[in-house]
Amino acid sequence: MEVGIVSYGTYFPGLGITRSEYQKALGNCGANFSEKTVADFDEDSLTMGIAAARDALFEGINPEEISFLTWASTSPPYSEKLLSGSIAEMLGLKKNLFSAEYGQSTRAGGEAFLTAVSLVKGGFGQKALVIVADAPRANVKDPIEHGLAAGSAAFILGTENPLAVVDNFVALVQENLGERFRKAGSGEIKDIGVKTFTGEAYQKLIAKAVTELLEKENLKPADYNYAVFHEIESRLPLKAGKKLGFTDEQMLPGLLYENTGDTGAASPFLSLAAVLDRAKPGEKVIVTTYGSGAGVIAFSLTVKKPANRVPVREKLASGKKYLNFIQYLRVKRYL
Amino acid sequence: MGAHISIPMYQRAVKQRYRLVGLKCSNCGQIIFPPKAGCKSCGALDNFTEVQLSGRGKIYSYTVIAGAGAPPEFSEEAAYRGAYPVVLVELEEGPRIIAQLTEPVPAEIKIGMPVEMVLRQIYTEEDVIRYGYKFKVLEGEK
Repeated sequence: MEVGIVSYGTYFPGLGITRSEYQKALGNCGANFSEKTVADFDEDSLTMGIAAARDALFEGINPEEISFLTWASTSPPYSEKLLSGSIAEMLGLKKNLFSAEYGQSTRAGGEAFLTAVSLVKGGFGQKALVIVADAPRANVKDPIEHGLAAGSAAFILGTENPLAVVDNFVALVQENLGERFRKAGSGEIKDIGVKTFTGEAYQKLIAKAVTELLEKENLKPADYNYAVFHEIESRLPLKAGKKLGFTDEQMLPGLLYENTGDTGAASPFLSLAAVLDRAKPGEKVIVTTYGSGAGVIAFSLTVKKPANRVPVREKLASGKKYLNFIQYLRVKRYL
Repeated sequence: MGAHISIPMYQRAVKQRYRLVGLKCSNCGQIIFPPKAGCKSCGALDNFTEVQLSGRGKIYSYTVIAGAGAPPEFSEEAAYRGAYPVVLVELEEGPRIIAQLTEPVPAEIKIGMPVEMVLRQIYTEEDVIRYGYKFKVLEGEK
């Protein structure tokens, strides 16, 4: 039985800040975006996730048909409290549903997505809803803060008439200390500040997962039309992809960091949505999700029909309100 | 505290606060939101059915809350925003409800502007986040 994406939705907050605002205020900016998204004072990963889910549940999908709900965020509004009940009430889902909530790393979205795929594949129900939403925070004095942004994506998975089917996956873990982490009780991520260390771990683990996935599928990089590499920062995805033999043409459609910043767990799923916005039937997509500490989940899809959604890039370009640095500090409650 | 709403009271109304579930009077067809014990159109006291409202509507009127005008549960947000718009929305189905207008707020708010419901944090009390509806001006109308 083929399991696939039957619908998807995305959401970005209506606020943004440019890199030049950082440079004006601090003299530098530790992240390489031109502008990034900023969650408003009254937004959090839950409200953003609901916005993406409502977008995904657009025409013809009855919320009552959803039997599984998986949620992923490294920045949930509560560290402990089930969110599935809130989500079910906010969207009008039926209450007898299996749910799982992930958030131990930015790979959480991959975990939520594959859990939902396997539940639908197991034949336990007709449809699953996957919500990935993130708005990570760090100490405002720490350069790791500069890139942090906000966004969300949601996918309805099912077996009938999918836009794209899931072909295969590979998941890997390894011990990796000192890379992006958040101690229990803290709301702020940090790292040991050695970028090359993270860069090497990222590239090696991604390369291993993608190579295994290609072997499993008996395909070459050139057999894919699109490749999404988790944008934990601006340059690493292209670097990792090129080493594997992927071209700019395959990777550029999925690169959003330049206009979003680091959307955490949501990043590869917003990129996947941006790819599905333009993909044609028969085209193949490879997606990698990375979690510090570290682990990778990579999966591949084959597109079955055009999506016909409001494109991610159009949403990013429309009617944003830009903040100055002081306004940014206030909306993030740093000041 | 100003208009303190206890958590049990808030929880009883989550359907209406989170996703605008209203009532329809089976006697006269009137849509009632927020749900009430009786129909204000025909006076019927029973035979209501739940209806999911679309969340779409138009700005019927508006005001701007500024200075010390905000109720205490909104004081943190009021301090952050300085001034914020509150709209009276006429929903597609008829009822008129009051809610905040979210960013990006248009330079000039106009009566008749189409709006759509969004879910946001309304305020936090006893460390419990109270979620509920606000409205945003629809794309292309800014």
